[in-house]
Amino acid sequence: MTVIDAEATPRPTTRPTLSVSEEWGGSNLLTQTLALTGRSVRPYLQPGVLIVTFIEPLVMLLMFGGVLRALGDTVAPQGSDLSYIAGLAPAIMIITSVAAGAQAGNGLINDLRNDVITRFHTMPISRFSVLLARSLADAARSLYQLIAVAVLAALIFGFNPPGGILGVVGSILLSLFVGWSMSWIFIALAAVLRNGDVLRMITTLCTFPLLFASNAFVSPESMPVWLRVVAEANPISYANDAMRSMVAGQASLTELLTTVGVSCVLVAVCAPIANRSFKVL
Amino acid sequence: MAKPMIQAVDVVKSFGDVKALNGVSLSVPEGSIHGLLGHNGAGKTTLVHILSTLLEPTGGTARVCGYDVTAEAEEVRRCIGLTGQFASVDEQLNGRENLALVARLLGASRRQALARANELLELFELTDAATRPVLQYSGGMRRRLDIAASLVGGPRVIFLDEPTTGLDPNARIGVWETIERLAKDGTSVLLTTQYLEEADRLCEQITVLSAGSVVADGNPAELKAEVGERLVTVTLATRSDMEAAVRALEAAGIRATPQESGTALSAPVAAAADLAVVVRILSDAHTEIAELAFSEPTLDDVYLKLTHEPTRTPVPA
Ligand SMILES: Nc1ncnc2c1ncn2[C@@H]1O[C@H](COP(=O)(O)OP(=O)(O)OP(=O)(O)O)[C@@H](O)[C@H]1O
Ligand SMILES: [Mg+2]
Repeated sequence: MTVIDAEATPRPTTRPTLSVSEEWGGSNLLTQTLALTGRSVRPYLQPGVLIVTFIEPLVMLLMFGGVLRALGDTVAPQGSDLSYIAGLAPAIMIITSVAAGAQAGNGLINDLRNDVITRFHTMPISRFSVLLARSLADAARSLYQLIAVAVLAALIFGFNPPGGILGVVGSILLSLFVGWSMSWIFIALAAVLRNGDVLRMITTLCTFPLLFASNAFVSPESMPVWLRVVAEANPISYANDAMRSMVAGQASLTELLTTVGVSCVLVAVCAPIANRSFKVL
Repeated sequence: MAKPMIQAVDVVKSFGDVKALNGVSLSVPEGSIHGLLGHNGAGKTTLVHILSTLLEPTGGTARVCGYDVTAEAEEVRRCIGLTGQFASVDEQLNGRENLALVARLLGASRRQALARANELLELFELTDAATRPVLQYSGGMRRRLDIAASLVGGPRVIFLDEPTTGLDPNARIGVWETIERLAKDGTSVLLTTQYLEEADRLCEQITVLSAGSVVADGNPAELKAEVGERLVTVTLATRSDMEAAVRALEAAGIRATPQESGTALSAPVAAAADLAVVVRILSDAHTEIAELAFSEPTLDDVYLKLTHEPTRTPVPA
């Protein structure tokens, strides 16, 4: 109120119609989720953030590309005629989407800290829609990065696999789904812990083993036994196998179903935990 | 009396060993403004959080709009608005988007949401800042947007936790006018505040909390009458008359206290009419009066008296 004049012209009333919300009649889960996702992606749409988000996959491509080439050509699965980059791109995709999923926990902590969620919790909306929106916002960011990986790989490394555009799109979608399902681990952790520092430590602690104890970069045959056991149970390994097959133009329904199945189990376990622990105070 | 829109009965809330609320009861009829006063940590915010379904009470019952805050939380949420102690608006969105988002979540169409947002921006004089991200708002602008956001659905009950803290005097008066208008339109308001002037001006009823318990309850006039004193302050023309003046008043049964200045004394009286008595006694005693002042008790007196009772458990800083 820059200038308040007690004698000013009368302002509109606080309640133009009696209880407007009764007239509106509430919203459904879809509307809520979409509206809240729109809110959550907003910080990602700032020009600076968009640029950095785009550069991240570029750095990964260049770094992993260089490092792994120096280690020897262990990336392409045995007996396949995939080019070096065609073997590497799915691995970069899956780590990109898992990293984006891990970000969802931090996003939730930030929301809790700046008190916006308090308002949502006093409103007649589903609390689950707030979490769902959180996961979808980070999935949207992940999709943007996955497209960046494919485009940059094609432009810089001549990524043009036998599976063609269909194989690449399939890989992107599968990777997106796996990353989204994994985001629920971190959303559940955030909802339970409610502490950003602890969450960040756990996130780092989880993501590194998850990424490296997999067949994404090194074939498990060359690992010590205990690590090989982890790598072979790792959802990332399943996803990576399925994606490589798609990129190679040899999509396998079994691999696809296994990957999707593992992801679904993950969501089925973590989402209810997140929903039950999700409180603002 | 109108039916209570907010009713708390013996509400208890413990956080582990900390007992934040120790059996608090209050009742707010429709269209009424109820004030909640108390020192830092008295439990005001905790009570507001329980009534707005953010916290579950450890004991007792609370009903808002006739619904139980634990068993029927969903119905309660349909009829309330909360402006918390700390602004809960999205900093990344602009003012209009914040209000429109709330409207969308309440089921408004895009067009309705925009119309309602504009209406409230106008009401809170934020139209000029409508398209700026809230990140760039001043504290007072955020506060106003926050209040506006809690009014989007036209709630029948609104909770305002220290709504004018951090506002400049003009903005504060603006918020007061809005609150008064809300009540006139039939909204029931529960307001916490540290400003006694604010409670005095706005509230029909006041509950004073201290360390989680109700220490006083009533309308401002009752509270003042109960605790505060009407005082007459007399400044004497001659300093040496002080002793005689005090003696004369005490002989008439009036307890007079010389003030530090040495030229003035104050004495409690029952009503303004007693001023004449004091004047007559003093002139009979041949003491000359230079100045005479009469003061009504203020809520400050009430507040300070009630919240500084020796029984009060000290609150850790
Ligand atoms: N989540 C919590 N965990 C533990 N103790 C809490 C919690 N929330 C509040 N308390 C305690 O409950 C008591 C009441 O706090 P509350 O926030 O209700 O006070 P208040 O009257 O709103 O104070 P202020 O005027 O400072 O806002 C305080 O002693 C506080 O430390
Ligand atoms: Mg408080």
